[in-house]
Amino acid sequence: MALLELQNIHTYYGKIHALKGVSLTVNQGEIVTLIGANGAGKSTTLRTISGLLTPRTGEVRFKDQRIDKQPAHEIVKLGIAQSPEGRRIFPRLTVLENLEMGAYLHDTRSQSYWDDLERVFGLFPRLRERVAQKGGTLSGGEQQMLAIGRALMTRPQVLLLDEPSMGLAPVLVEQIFAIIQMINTQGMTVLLVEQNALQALNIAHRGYVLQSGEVVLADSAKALRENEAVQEKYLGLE
Amino acid sequence: MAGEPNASVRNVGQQRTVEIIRMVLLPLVQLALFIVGSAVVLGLIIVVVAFLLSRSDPMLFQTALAILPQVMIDGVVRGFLFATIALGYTMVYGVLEFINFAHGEIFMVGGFVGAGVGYLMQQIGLLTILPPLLFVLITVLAGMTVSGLLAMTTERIAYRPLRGAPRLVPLISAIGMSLVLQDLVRLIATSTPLGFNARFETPDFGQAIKLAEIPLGERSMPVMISPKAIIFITVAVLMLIALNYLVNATRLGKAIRATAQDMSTASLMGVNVNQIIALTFLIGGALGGAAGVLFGLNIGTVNPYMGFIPGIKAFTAAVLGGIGNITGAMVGGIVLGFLEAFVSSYLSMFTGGKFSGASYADIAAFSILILILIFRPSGLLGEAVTQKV
Repeated sequence: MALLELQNIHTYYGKIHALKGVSLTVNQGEIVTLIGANGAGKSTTLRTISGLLTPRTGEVRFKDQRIDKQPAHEIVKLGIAQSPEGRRIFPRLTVLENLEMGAYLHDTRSQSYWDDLERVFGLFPRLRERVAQKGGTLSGGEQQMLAIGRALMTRPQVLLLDEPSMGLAPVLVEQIFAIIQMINTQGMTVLLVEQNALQALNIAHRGYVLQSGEVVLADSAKALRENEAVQEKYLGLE
Repeated sequence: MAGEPNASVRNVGQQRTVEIIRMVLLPLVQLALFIVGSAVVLGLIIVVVAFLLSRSDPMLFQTALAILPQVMIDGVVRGFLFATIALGYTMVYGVLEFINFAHGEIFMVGGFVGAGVGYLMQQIGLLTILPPLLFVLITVLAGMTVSGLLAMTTERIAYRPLRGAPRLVPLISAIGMSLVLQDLVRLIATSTPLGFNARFETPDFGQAIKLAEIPLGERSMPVMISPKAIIFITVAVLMLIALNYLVNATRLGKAIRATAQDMSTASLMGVNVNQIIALTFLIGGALGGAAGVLFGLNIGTVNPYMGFIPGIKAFTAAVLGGIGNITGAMVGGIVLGFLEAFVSSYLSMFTGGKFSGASYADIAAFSILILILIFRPSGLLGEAVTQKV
């Protein structure tokens, strides 16, 4: 049974038809990646899942329960967390307060909260050094770490990551992807949206290629890496 | 870290406690500094000007100095009035980037609720037996409740449906709400025994307290503060402390700040953004309502149009302090209050009575405001506006 499933989703921004019947599945324990050009609808897909956007038609199912009519703050309770595009750190909250916001639905006096915090600091030791610093003063890489850490603090079962490599130096990209893979091996299901298709396909199990709001290809990551059309269009290989 | 994970976690916890204490106290210290600073700066200007003018009129210097303490007290009272109203503007702006022009009317409604409660108490003969402080407590709480709920209702019916619309649309809606509330209150007031100019009945608060007596030639100049003014300042300070605690040290306050910084991301954290916005209106409205009650209590009468000018001034104070910034609203209120008090007391004295200070106070205060904003467009405590990416 698929953990997360989209069936024939149509999402609009006003009159603009952004998603034209997207269907995809994410199984427990997988890393699934959505690749595609700018404006293909990758972020729109994630925002539709997390409840920031409501699809006009189609169904989003999580653990076989329809969630497409629910608002974002209800969906996060079910166990779907999103690290949004552009990181969207709360700039005038400290690093610790940002993480506390991640744990907004949980009791911050409980031991499990401290365990979560310790886990995030274990994954991103840099955040521990910067706990009292305002989010807006962090570097891009640190903000990305904080965005992922903050999403993990919600105790998700599925982690939606929107362009975690955007604007980062290559060394940092490597590091972030290694951490995503590590989080996955610890049992987290990940849906990853990336422009950096090569990196994404390297760590993903399966992938979907989006083009103008439609899924044009769906296959295992390995097959997509070897697909000539994908190589030419998204991997920059001739 | 591997050896002793809990030690570092506890460290983080301690840092947080210190941080919370710092965040609750810091705005109050800042506010105190601005009160003292405004008093000192304006006081010095007065001393210098009075000294320069005293060559032609020797008595002027003495008189100017003698009324100085009284003017400062007056400035503090006005300052806290603007500050408590300004908080409503700034909190709503912080979350929605929207100016709630009906907030002056929320303030006015608070005044009317206070006057209504006072009238009812007078009718049943409670006014003479009730201790004055209990009276203040009851009227302030009543004003806060009604104004808070009214502000929340206004948001629900007039602003929320327009959330996605272009910015000017809710602004016009707010101006409309302001007119509706004015005339609604006028209708209610004139069809009840309260009347258009409603008297604000209060128990006897006693005589003004004489703090000092400054000798001035053969006469002497008393420095007075009325018990109502003391009540005003005390209640305002208590509310500011409570608000700072709520916003800076509680989970709810963190949710308010997060929503103000990034609404959609806050909802991804599980924050019900609509609830937080309603709450912001409730808190801002309650503060405005309390200010209305205290204002009516001090002045003695209320009318349906009394919210307009204080509303505009409080909005100015919020901009002066840096709109969206809570401490800024308080500071802006204090600075504007001082400016007004000084100008209205000294202008006619220094111009030999050519300009009446009271009628030029607004012009002078707003001119200084414009000057400050030319040099600091983001306000006294405002942060430079950064482009959201």
